[in-house]
Amino acid sequence: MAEKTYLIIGNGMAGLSAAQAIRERDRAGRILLLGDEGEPYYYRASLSEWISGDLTGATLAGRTPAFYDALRIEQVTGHVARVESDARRVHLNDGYIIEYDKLLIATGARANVYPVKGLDEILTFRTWADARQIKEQLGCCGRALIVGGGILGLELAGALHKMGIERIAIVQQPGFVGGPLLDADAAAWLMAHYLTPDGIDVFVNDTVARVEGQTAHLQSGQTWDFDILVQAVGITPLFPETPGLTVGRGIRINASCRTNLPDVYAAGDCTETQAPGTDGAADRAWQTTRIWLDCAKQGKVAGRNMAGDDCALPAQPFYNASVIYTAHYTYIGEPHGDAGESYVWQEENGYRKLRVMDGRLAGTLLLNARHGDMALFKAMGRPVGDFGDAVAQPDFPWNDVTGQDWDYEFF
Amino acid sequence: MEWDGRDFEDSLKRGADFGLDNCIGANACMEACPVNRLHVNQNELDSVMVSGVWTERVQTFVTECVQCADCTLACPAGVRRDLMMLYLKTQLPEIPAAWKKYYAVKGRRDRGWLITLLDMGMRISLGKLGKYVDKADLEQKSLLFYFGCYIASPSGAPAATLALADRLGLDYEVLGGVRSCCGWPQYLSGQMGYGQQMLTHLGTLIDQVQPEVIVSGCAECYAALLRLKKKTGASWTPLTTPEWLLRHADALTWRKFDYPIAIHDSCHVTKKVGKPGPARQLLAKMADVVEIAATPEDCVCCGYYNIHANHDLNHQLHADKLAVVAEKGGEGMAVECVTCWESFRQPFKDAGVPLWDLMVAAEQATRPEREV
Repeated sequence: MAEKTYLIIGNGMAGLSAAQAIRERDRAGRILLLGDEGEPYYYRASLSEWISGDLTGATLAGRTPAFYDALRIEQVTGHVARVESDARRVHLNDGYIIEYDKLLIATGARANVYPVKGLDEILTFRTWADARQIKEQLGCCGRALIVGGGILGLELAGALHKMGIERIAIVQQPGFVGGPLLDADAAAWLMAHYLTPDGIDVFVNDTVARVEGQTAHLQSGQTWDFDILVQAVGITPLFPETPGLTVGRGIRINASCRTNLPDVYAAGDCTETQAPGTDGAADRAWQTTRIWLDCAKQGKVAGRNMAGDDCALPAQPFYNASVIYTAHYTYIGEPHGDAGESYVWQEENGYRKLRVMDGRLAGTLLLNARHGDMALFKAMGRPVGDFGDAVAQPDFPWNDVTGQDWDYEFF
Repeated sequence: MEWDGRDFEDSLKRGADFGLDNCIGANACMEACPVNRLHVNQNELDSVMVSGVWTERVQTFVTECVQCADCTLACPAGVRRDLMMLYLKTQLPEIPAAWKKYYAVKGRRDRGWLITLLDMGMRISLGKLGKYVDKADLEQKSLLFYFGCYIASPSGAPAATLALADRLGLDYEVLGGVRSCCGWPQYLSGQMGYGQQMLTHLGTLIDQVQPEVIVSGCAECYAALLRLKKKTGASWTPLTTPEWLLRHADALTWRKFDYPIAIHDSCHVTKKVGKPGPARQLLAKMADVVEIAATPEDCVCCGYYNIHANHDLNHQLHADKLAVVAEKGGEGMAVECVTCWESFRQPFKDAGVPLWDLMVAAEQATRPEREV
């Protein structure tokens, strides 16, 4: 039997994870990893740490040329114009055609850009090239204006602050920063303990109406002088034209990371999924993928299935942990919403919110005080008992509820 | 004993794979690491795990990892980065020369002649303890003190432990000497073959004693005993020396040291097993206890498993420890683990700061007046 050709479009986390998973199962097949940024895989989630100087370029890249050699992953640079799934081939926009046996679309997403009156070129914060541009234009002591105070905008603000930039402003349209990760209460805690003490200017319920020279005129009438203006206003899934492919905002995939087309898989930020375990239930909303861990997991599942396995994404509550501004957070399930009861514990060094619905743990948001987060993850959906506010305390014994400790079997 | 120890590597690989599948890329592990002087990123480590292609940075870092588990405590995703690091240690392309030297005797039951010579020397130099060095005719006793290779520890902990047991009028057996090494040091360096050989041999020695309780004053030995118990389903209970002595504390008369003493937490008892309590409770019986970290889990490792890899790094850990003890008002420091004691010995001696193994301190604090 002829060796298979696996074509992976996109060399981000999803694409790379798939390549690794394929190679674990198929030692002989040809793996083509197609990227269009002109650089090998790098660790997108850590771009802010590269900006702040905590990581070097070599560390951000993370994979050495020897890595690709060892796994026999062929790296190709090019941009796919169209996928012809009937003929099992893709067309690059420079005219080349690549044939495949199994295809993975892992093309990621692009940063949203909204036009600003008076500004020709708009910087975003998505790629290493963007990060380089931000760093170069800012120099040692420039002034930064970040439009969008969501997770990404706050991450950039945190990186710039750590880098030593003193004048940073965030313009945020809705009434508080950090949504949808934070609610108004948690955002107030972050403001009080991080953004305000660090001297970050935050303009909420405001937008940039126009720019004149290096001055931004806000809707509210206030002005702010800047050296760079960066928009961090969300991302949109990006994928090549593929006749017959079922898409919503992103490419629709099932728990096996298969699309509706034969031998075409998709993974990562370019996809959308239904909540696990509800495949086929039409009333469940489709959600775009935007978490690094989910990209990695989808890539692995797609890769394994491309190489002949039949595995599925685990059905788990939503989970993410990372950094918001410079604070560590863990977010599990659905901590925000009007239904059920919410319990909040907060001190100067941490904020913990737990939401209980029908007596069961429905979600949690932990800022800095993340003690016991894995036990909380395991406790999701379980009866909480009648402890009232105590459940939000950092020392609440969640291990007693779950009956498991973190030391799962090694000692 | 039926367990042959061969599942060491399997369970290690499982733990490492779990880590690869669940790592969320927060890099919290590497930020928490006390010995990551090269600023290695989690991404670089995973790259090596997946491909088997080593970089010099990762190789250096893996040899310098002290297995303290700060990484695992910091992980928001429940990943056992300590196991992933241990797995990488097993895969190291070359074993550092210093490690080879360290394990020339430790864990090498095949080098019988060398150990026989060593035993002879120890029997002479250890005085009353000498008769327990690789004792051949082990007796059945309900209380077993397990000193392993630390029977010759310059901390004086084994002799102090037995003095306390004698003072309490207890009947016991002692297991000590390099032939009864638990294998944990080998295991923590990725030398799985030696590790399992030693641990399973220890199991057969313990079987001869048929104890109800095994007491050890070394955190690694204690961790090894926990694993042995779990794997063999043995009925005996492992105790740390502070746990054991606290059970008898009321039978002793305690005097207080006239200066405040800081408490150092060992990685294997506090971080990996989650038992910070007993050492503090014991120290509180004889001194004002000074906490040197925000929580016991935050206490920085003694760096022992780095001792042969990078001296500069260890000197820094020790200098930092001395500084924090002074800053918090400790005029001495107590440890519950002889390994920690040995790691801190020289720098504390040089600085003139008393360093106490808790057993040695307890022996002094409970010595009847006429003996003082």
